[in-house]
Amino acid sequence: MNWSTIYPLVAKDLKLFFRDRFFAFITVLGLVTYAAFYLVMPRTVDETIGLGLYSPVLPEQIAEAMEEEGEPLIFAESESVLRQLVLDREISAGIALPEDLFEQLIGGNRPIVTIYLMSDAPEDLQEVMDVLAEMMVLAITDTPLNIEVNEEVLGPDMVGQQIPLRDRMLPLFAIFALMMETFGLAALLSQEIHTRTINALLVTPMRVREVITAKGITGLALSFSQAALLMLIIGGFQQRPLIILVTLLLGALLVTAIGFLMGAAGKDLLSVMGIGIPVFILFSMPTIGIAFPGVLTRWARIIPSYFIADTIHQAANFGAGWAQVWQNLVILLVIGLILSWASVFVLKRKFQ
Amino acid sequence: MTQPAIHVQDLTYRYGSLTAVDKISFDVGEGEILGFLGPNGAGKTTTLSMLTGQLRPQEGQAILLGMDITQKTAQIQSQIGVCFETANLYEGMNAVENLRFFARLFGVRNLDMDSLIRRVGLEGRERDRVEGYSKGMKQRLMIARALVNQPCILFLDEPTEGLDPVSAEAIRNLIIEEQQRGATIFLTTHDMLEADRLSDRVAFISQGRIVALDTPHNLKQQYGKRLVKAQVTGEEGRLEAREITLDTPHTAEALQKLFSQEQVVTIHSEEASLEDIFIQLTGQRLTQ
Repeated sequence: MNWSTIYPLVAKDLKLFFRDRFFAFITVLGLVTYAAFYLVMPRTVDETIGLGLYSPVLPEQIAEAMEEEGEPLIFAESESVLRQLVLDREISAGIALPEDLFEQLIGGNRPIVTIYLMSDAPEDLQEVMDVLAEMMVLAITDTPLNIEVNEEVLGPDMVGQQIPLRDRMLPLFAIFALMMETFGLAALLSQEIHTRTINALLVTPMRVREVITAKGITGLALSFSQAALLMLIIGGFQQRPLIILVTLLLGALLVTAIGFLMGAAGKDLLSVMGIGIPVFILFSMPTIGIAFPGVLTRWARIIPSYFIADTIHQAANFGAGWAQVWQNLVILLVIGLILSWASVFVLKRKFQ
Repeated sequence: MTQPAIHVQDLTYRYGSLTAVDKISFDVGEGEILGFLGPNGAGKTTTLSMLTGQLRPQEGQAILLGMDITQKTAQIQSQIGVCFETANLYEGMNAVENLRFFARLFGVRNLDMDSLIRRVGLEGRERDRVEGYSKGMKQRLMIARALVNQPCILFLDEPTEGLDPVSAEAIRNLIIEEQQRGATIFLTTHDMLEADRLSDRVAFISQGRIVALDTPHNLKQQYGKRLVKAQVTGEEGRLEAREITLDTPHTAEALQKLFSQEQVVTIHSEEASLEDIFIQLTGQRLTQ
């Protein structure tokens, strides 16, 4: 390997990258925007759920029972007011008890309790409301449940200190930063091929392997430095910085390989973007599952970026150590190496 | 006998079922300019690509500066310069940056940038980005790039194609200067006048085969017809053309008859052009 030819090519590519107004702009814009998003998002989580109740019977007893359970209630004057409170999103859900609740119970009938929820309410909340309604009726009729509840928290107890959304979004920001520079690398590569400057390089003492090494260094440097800088700005290194740095480096290897493939397939910036955006969206999916738990199922684990996102989430938000994340890192390394090998093979053929 | 700068033996390259270069053999001496003439698709660029290490020959051998191109590619490439047919410069950089970058790839530390820029007539524009250059300026910069390592062999692929007369002349002068410096020059072109003027020898390539290889003078002697062309006053005072082939047993008689029986207005002799000879040998035109 002739490093005296590799260094000038890396320097040339970095110069052209930052001289391109579009790439320079999206690099700065990305950093500023992601950092701004993170910083303006709330640092804490509001864990309270606003509940409403319309109860023509024994409202005081119900209020007392609910206060004991730690759930503050808003009492509505009528069922229609309760509906409006839900529609206005003043409360997350409302329970309306029937006026003839006791009569129905005494008569051995099943009274109808109505639960009001917005159409986008999560399924979990619906189930909770069903149980809550049953508990209310039991409280009113003074019929205790014949069970004892024993709560056992697995892992660190996060009650009262849940992870804010912005910290759940750390993996998303990291993957955005890693992927963003991939477009630049791919565009540089496709330009090199389609303007045939690669031919000019390959009639100098420079070999194909040196061109690919130089491009790889450029890609790694761009994506890793961008992601690391972003994490530094938003405080992503407060826990397990070494694990996060290693994850970003392996992530940079992965996205550089993707950039090689995009560069080999694309003809210009537009086609590179056309190929790259679906990959960008695909790679972002596992991070959505982390930011909004329950949105994605286990299939997201087949997306290679899952291992970047999960490792950053575990390390940055739960302080997970090497023992917890080593499997993710090994899988990431293996996928990165396989994709790198494939992309180098494709690129070699394209160059020659 | 000194070793040729380029020795090619039975060089062959196929693209699938199409044989682009078909067992060609030739030598180019040190300091010689070889014009490689042929129409588009004849195999010129494929030959140049094999000689410069961009394509690996499928058959045959190419020895440059005493080394096999397939075995000592990097060593050979450090001593050659290549100017491509189409501009392939880094357009986001200026001329100085382009030249400095390639000089670094060649390991050249003492490049006389000002002199090189002056030689190709880009002084005053050397700090402008290449994207704003005219075609002629880009071509001159490509020549300059091919010269950064002071190459022993210079490969020029259609260096004046589509250029204005001033830029084309500047490039021809550079080629002559490089020959005077001692460089061997492999010039592919389909411009017969350029080849005639610059080349010590020319090779005609058609459908991947070399059909003739000699000095332009010898080719004209061997294949060309020398003519006398005249304009005479014909009936009703109109000008008419007359053509007499020289070097035949009847030439003297025909000339005598022309002067005695016709009223000659203009008369001049004309040599066969390389284009005429190419057509005679291949049945094809160089330019289409």
